[in-house]
Amino acid sequence: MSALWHAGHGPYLALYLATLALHAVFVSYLVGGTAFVLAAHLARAVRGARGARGDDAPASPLAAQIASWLPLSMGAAITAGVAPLLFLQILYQRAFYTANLLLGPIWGAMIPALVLGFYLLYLHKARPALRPKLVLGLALACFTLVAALWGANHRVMVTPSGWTDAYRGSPLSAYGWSLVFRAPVWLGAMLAQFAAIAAWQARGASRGSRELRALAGTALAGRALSAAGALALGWHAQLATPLAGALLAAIALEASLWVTLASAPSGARRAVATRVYLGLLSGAAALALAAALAVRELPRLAHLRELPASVQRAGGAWLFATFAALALAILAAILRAARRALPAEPAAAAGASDVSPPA
Amino acid sequence: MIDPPYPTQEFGPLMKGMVIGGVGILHVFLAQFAIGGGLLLAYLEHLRQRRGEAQLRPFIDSYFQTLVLVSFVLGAVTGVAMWLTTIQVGARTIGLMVDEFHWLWATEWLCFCIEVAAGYTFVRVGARLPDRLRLRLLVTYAVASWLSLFWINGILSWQLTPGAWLQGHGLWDGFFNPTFLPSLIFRTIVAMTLAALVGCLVIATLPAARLRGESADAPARAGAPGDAADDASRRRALVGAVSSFLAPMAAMPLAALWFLRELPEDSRGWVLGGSVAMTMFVTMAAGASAVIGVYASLLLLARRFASRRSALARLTLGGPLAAILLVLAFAATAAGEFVREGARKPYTVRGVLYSSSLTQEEVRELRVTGVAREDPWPLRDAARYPTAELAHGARVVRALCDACHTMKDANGLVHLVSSWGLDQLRHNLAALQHTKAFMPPFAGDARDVEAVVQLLAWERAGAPATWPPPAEPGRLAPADPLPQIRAWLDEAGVEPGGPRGAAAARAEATP
Repeated sequence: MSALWHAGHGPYLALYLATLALHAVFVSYLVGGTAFVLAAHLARAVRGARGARGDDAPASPLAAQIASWLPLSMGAAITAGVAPLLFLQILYQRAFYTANLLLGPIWGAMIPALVLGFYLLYLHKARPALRPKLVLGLALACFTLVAALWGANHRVMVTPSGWTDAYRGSPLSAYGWSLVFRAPVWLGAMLAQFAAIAAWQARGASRGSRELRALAGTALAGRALSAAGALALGWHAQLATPLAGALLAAIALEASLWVTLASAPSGARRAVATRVYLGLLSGAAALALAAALAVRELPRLAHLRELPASVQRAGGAWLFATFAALALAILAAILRAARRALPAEPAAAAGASDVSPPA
Repeated sequence: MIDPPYPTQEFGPLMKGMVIGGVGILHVFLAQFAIGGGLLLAYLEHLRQRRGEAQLRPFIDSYFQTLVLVSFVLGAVTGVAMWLTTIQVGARTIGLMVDEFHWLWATEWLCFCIEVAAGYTFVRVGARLPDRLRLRLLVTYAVASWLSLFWINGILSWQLTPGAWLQGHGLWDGFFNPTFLPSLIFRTIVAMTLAALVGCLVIATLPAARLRGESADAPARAGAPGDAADDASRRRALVGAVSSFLAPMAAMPLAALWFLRELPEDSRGWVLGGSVAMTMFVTMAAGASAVIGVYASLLLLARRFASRRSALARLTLGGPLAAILLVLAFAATAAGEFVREGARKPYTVRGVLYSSSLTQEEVRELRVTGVAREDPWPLRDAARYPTAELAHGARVVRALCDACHTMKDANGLVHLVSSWGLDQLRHNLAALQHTKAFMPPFAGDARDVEAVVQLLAWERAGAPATWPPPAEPGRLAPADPLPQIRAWLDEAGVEPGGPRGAAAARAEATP
């Protein structure tokens, strides 16, 4: 690692991983949240089909609250995604550009998918009663496509042996379905990360006990999906590394906290979910995220090339550092202002459209 | 040592420039709207609080919703799309820009973060915030979004006029380049204009209840006599406040002239008549802007000087007209971006990278080694070519021409050379930068030139199964063209073309 630092890659690698982690938090909320709200609607439909509390039953307050935050989380996710995209290009320019070009128009499908996904989320927020399962299902499909494309890009980047075949034929013919198999691993991780964030929202919800159990189920299902995906890809062979060990330990801690919470008696569940408990859970999830990103990055380091002279001589690092400090201060002030106003948000408005389409 | 080329992508009948142009123009339009919108809202909120103009508040809130819906994600996504498309079209160019200016780009990203945080906070809780915080939030949003323009403008204008950066590669020499300031002023005025036009659209579509400041949830009440007149007057007052953002358009011609003055001489020459397409687009941009400017002037002058009872005082900017002017503004933006991109030719980064994504030194090297020798990418349609020379020609075209031309579709090579004879083709390709000054020098050896000549002739002949066609009886076999091509390549050199000065013309005329 110190060799990397001396070669000039270190600061870029650190910034890449830090900004990617930030991006992953928002993306997890977006994708996991969309899946969670969709699942809430599906569960309601199933209850309705059984003749039990059906479509006339009140919607899950947490699902409604999450739905209202989804468009915002998408804006935040896209914005947060710009920085890792920038640092990725500095670190792996040739490999990244080559993968982009080889995936070509398939790669470009990400843009309409993102635009469509965003407006579907807005549509659901503004008109929650308008075919919610279809709207949310389509949005989730869009985001899954984007996740699969990023997974494919990563796979192409780190496997130059397939480049010529991918160019002559197609990426799918060169790499097979392993090109998209990475997606379930990350989608599962996103569900778990989402649950860790949404637990804080559930803690304040009126039916927090049921919501917390649902979130526990989401997180555990997510981790199971990731594990199945990793097994299918044969990643278990890499478990011997210390970083993979740290990842497994963090996931085990997180899962045990979820299981404990879910198995608590319904009446006591909210009492278990203290700030400290949720802090511990979020900490475990954050550790798992950091370790997962490091585990993901490690094999790619072999593809690092010497930084070009133009990167080494580029000025402006001090400007970025100064602006970063300033930006943090401004963001803190904005958050403070928002927090001061948010408690006054009426409960009924939580699920309502506060950003309706323009008149 | 030249890095091996990147793989290339084809976009069917579209040339790559059209793809990036389409994405880029949409992004620029949306981004400038977002920037101008921020400035406009901060100004209006200030006005509201200072003058107590209550009717501005529902407008500000409605406008911000439009801004978020249209610009926050569509603007951001098209920005990423632009980035990814640029990689598809000119990976090396975007790579160089990232290498040189990544810290400024990272700083711009911080501005995005502040912009999005301030914007969403305003949307989410703005209505419940005290006036002081509302204004602070809007000013923060406006400053952050304008700063994002500030940073990206320096990087983009560096591509066209790198200025003193060419000597020492200093960051600030490149950033504060000759067209930085005129371009920044011009884009700021455009942003303000777009914001005002969208503002008029929002005013026209604002429901009467919102206009009166009633809650959207309030039960609808029957319109009282005089309500319609009141609403119309409210809308006129709002248009009056918003249209003050059209006033800076008066400075637009000055900024444009300043920008033109700072352009390199050859680029200015193409814009001002040397290239019909570019001149036409400049005229289109200027014409569309002039129409908007004239109406804006009438509107502002009428509000300022016409007596209250005169018909002129009732001049306003209603929804349909605002929509038409917005379409014109989009056309002006599109034409302006086309000119900005075109004026860089034959470079993508002036003085550094030719539009073929090669430096002058690399062109010199490729004149010796040939361009396709290090190309690791196979031909996808290799079976189509009946001879090795034609297949080689296809690789050369892919390496050198693909960024701006297709074979037979948009900006198709076959169309462009359809009337040229074989020797004319050989000469014009070998001396490419002198054939057309906005073309880069041919970056290959004589065999590469001949391979392209044969490929174009073969395509022109309808891609027959055998090539070359059998010689007509009685005609001599053609002489080996390579020595002559080599001589032409040497004569053309590897420097850019550009207009020949009077001294060169005199020297050529001297026997």
